[in-house]
Amino acid sequence: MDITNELINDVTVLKLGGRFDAYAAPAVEKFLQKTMGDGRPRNLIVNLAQVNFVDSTALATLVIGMKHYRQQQGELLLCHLQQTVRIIFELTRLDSIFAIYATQEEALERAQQSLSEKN
Amino acid sequence: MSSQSELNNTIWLDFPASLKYLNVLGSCITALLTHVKRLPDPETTAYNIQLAVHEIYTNCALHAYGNKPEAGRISISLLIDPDERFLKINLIDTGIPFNERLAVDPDLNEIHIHGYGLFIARQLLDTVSYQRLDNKNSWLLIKYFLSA
Repeated sequence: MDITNELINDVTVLKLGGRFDAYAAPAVEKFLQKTMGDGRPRNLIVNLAQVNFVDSTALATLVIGMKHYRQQQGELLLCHLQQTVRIIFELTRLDSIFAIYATQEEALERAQQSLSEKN
Repeated sequence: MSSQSELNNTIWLDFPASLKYLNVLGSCITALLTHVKRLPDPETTAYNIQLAVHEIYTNCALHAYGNKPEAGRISISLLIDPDERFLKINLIDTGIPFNERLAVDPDLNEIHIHGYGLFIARQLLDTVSYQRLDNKNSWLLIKYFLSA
């Protein structure tokens, strides 16, 4: 799968592309671990616009990431879920647990707002 | 349906127990479903079946074989019945027996990290059944197609 990231106003945006499945999940987990190292509150947006498949292992990776970010007073936000990809979040009711935004701009706005509340 | 008719319509796939080829399995299922002329909401139906089969396959590779491709193979048969009423898929591995204690549905009021795979497959298919036969794990999956 394709993994790229950029820093926008102190918020890391992780862009994934292709299949986010049990085969691809370790690479994403590795990235998440790298970004969580120093204990500073951080926010991460995972942009799933180009992800065409998500399985339960990918879901587990995102849940672990979300828990770690919350432990560090940060947030992991998701955006741009394709309709078919949304199904797995709805079936597991994790759509009500994750902060999911329609666009990256909306997610960025929320992430920056939460950072300024903490500073 | 006669067994000869079943045989004439059955596709056999045989994978090393590796997650690397999950995308190949997914593509095969999607391509096979293009043969169903009146598949309702083809994109979503194909995606959901692919996801469900994928979860069972991953379970075989990770749990039956401990994520070791050299540990064995996963044999898969796919059959669309000639009247296009259902898709039947059988996955067989020779790994360690499935722990049926893992078959409990997760409490959706709690956040879990593991335990969603089988639950997802059950939600998306009409039949998900497991048997231990001749020292093999055998999963039978069936999805009925409602008329479009």
